[in-house]
Amino acid sequence: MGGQEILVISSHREATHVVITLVGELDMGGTEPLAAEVQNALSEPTTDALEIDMRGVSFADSAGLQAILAAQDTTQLAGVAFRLVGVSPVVSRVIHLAGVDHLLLPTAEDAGSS
Amino acid sequence: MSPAPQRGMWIGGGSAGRSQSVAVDDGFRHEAFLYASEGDFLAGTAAFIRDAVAAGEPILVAVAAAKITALRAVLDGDAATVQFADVTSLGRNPARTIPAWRTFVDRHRADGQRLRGVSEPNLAGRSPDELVEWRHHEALLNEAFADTAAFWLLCPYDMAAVDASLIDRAHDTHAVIDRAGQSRPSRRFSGADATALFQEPLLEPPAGVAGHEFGADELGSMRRIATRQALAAGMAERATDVALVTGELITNSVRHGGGRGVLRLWRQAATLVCEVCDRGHVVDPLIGRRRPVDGQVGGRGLWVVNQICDLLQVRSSPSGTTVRAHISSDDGTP
Repeated sequence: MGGQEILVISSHREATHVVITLVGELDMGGTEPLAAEVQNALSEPTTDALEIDMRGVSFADSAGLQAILAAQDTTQLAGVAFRLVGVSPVVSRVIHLAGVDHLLLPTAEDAGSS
Repeated sequence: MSPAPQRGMWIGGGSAGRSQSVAVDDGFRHEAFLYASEGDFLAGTAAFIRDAVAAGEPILVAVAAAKITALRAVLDGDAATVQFADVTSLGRNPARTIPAWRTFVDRHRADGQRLRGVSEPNLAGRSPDELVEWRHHEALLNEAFADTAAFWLLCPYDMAAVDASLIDRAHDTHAVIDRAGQSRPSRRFSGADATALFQEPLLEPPAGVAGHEFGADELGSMRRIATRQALAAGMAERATDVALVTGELITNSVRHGGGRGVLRLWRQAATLVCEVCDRGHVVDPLIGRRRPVDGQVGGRGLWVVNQICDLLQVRSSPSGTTVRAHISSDDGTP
């Protein structure tokens, strides 16, 4: 639960499209809250696309990436499109180091210059 | 030029003069080549490489950059199919070398070919901790490739430059010793060395280093402590790395090490040491040296740490686990 104070998770729905926004530091403390947020988004049967916005994530470790991978798996298993946006260079580096770039980055959109 | 090797035979002869007095073996042959001069090194290693090339055996040569240049010059056209790697960067953290050998072996093993490698120990200018870890690395090679068929790895040790105690240790970790043109089985070799070394205690931390107790709720605050220590040590450019490494080690303790532990950070020469102790027991001495596979849940923590830090020391026994990550103040270029 340690990450709960340092990661803020919020959701925004537009018709069938849900955006989950993460702000703060993504570590093992984010695992359960993120999974719950994803379940919540998928529990609405009309949902056909889920996006995780990581622009506000200043730090992520391998447990945090594991939480993102789990969110991606759950979403895709439910037949819902998954997209990762706002992957900053600092997060992208950890994605490469953890060797999960080929799993996560195909669904990712560049964070741009940030 | 020596004849192509045959299955079930260890290769002898060649200009290196490796004799056939050693036992017939078709598995992993981990051999220390103790050489006395640069000329010995070039002659012995070039002969070993030429034998591989002549037999069509894939070979990866991981030695210092200057030796790569010298070997290329000696080998001339024979070097075309040889893969070279600079061990100074590859072996900066010794834990990154086994995955490199694993990649080489896996890439070629499917072809059913015999494989060869040259693995120079990366010992020049290294700290005492780094020398100890290279010995562990040599023992772990036996563990990592115990089941690999027909893989001959030659480790050239410079008797003039390397401390005598390290040459002595090489007899424990190499099944075969090649010296003055003679290959002999090492009487002291034990394939089980890796497990014993894994339980060897580390030196005590310096006196007066604060211990920070943590549980799951302290992950963020421990990263903050680590960041501040890195900044205080004048390592601003590596502060993010220090925080990431600290977080990974703590996460391991929280998830697999009994839920709690103690963090200590201290300066040691030009490195910041980040130590995490817990009550867990790690049984796999190759932890952090196996490339994670897709779909693997967890187990990426020490892999990530090894990609970032300059040295990782892991010791574990039934009474607990200590992990020390050394992060250097420079950017890794020698």
